[in-house]
Amino acid sequence: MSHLSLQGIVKRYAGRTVVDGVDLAVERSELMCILGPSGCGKTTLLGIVAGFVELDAGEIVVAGRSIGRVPPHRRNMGMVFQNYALFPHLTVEDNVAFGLRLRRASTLEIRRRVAAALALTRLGGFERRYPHQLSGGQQQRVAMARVLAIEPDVLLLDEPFSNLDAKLRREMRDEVRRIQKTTGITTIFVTHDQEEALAISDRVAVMRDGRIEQIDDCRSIYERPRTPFVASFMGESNRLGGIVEAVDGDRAMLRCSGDVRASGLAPHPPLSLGQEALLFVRPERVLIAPAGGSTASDVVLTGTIEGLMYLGARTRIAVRTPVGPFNVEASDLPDHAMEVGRQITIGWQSRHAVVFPAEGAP
Amino acid sequence: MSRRRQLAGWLLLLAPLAYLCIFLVVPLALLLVTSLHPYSATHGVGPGWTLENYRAFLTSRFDLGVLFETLKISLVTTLCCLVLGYPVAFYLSQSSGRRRRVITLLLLSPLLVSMVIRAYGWVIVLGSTGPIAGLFRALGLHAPVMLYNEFAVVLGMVHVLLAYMVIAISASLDAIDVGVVRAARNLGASPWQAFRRVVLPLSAPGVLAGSVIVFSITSSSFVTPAILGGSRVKLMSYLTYDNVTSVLNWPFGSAIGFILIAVTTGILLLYGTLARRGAPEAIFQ
Repeated sequence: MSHLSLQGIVKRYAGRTVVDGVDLAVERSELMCILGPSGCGKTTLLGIVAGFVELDAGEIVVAGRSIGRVPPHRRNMGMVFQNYALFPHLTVEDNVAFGLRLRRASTLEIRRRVAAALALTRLGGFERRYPHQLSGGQQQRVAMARVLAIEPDVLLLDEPFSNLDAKLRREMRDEVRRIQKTTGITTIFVTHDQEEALAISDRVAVMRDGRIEQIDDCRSIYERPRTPFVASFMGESNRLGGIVEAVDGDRAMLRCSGDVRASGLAPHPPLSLGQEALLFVRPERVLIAPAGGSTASDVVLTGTIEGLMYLGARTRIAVRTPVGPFNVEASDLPDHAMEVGRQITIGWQSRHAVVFPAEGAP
Repeated sequence: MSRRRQLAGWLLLLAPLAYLCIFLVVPLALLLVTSLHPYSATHGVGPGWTLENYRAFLTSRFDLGVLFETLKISLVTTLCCLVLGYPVAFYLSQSSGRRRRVITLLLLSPLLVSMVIRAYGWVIVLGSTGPIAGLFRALGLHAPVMLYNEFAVVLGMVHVLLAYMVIAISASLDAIDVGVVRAARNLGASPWQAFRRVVLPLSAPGVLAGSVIVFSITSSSFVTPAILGGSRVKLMSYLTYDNVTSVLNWPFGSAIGFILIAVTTGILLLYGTLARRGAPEAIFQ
């Protein structure tokens, strides 16, 4: 049985349903990411799990114990807040010991566990500092150490890296993942940053308008999105509209403007012939070749290069085609004649594209 | 900061500094100088220098009694404002929108009425023919004396100064991040424990500021104690007034004023130091 399970969670604010029947099962020691745009209800959901937000319907079960109506201080959940919420009047040591003192742990036990938490978060030597004397990254570590010290049943992380600069964010991300693996704490991680979600999670739940659209491992979420929202929210996609002309097993063929045929995987719901549909294909899955060349693709289009942007590891190419603009990302360009205004052949393998009904696409 | 901006800062400070200098520092200096002259029955302020005025005050049982009474009334008023004001400030900081505006208005409403009218209002309410005394009599009880004593003075002072205390404390409470309280709850603190260990210490600067304001205003107040204290409760301000306007002993009046300033400042400094020492410096950033 799952370690933490949310069943039919509903939360309404002034008639508006913010969380709309969420079911989520997190396995023991798993890091589950809740990913969604701002306002999708993910932070409210985390507040519900922590007990700060009362739920209107549904149940929360941790290790077989129902805690939906238990006050926050008896839930034994460790939450790391977006702004860290360290106690400004307490030293690092006292911040970390806070939960232990409430649990009436012995002085010896407190000293041992504070030292262990500080060692785990590499904060040795900072015991006597106050939060305002620490950098953002260090404050983040104290927030982690403070919840780790109480050995919570579940770790809740609310956009913990959003206040850090890009480099530090990656460092802390790896750090949190390392700590989570070391301690094996069941973790829910809330973020709007899809790259962060993919980097850190065992599984990702994509949330939209108070509902979960898809729960899957990172690769499936990215490569096999089950809804157009997931496809467009996770990374970038080129979109191509058309009419379903043929469905063959799990593939669908679209007839697009200019009599162009494009195919891709059609997950569910099943498509019917003649239906309007959208095809999504990621920029890095689009292959390129010189005009008239071959790209080992199931779908081939000809277009004109409109822009080139050198991004270091990759180059971004904007291509104008008869069916609309395409963005292509290539890690190495063919030497010959990649310049603005030139003709180019682009294509993709249909297993790298997905097709959804156009209706309801964001 | 650039030199130019620094200069601009000083220029902006110039007007209030000049004001304070002309209307506070200079008069205070004159007060000090006057207090060091002897009393002259013919000129008021006599020639020569002396410490006699201070000696006279510090050796007079009556004068020291007035000083003690003033400090006692100020302390009791401060404590009452603190005990009554903290819950109100807490409630205020939890409220928002319309409710917050209404509470603030109610708090400030005593300040809208003239001090004299407000004090005489209390004279009517607390007097022996007033409604409270009437209620006692209606119940067949002997009405206690509620007017012209310390109780009346403290009541009148608290009535006015509660607003200052509440506003000072609620400003401090408003500055506390909700997340910090949630973090405490999350780490296992009951609502009371979260208040005791997080909210209360973090509101210390407001408590300190409110106490300083209430204490210093009470210790130098004149109208309210004069009306509600009657002839029995005499405070330093009255003593100063009496010496300056009735006895015309300006040097002694000045000395009384200066002693009050010195003692109040000393007490407030001590209070501030103790408060800072008791709490970690991080609170008073």
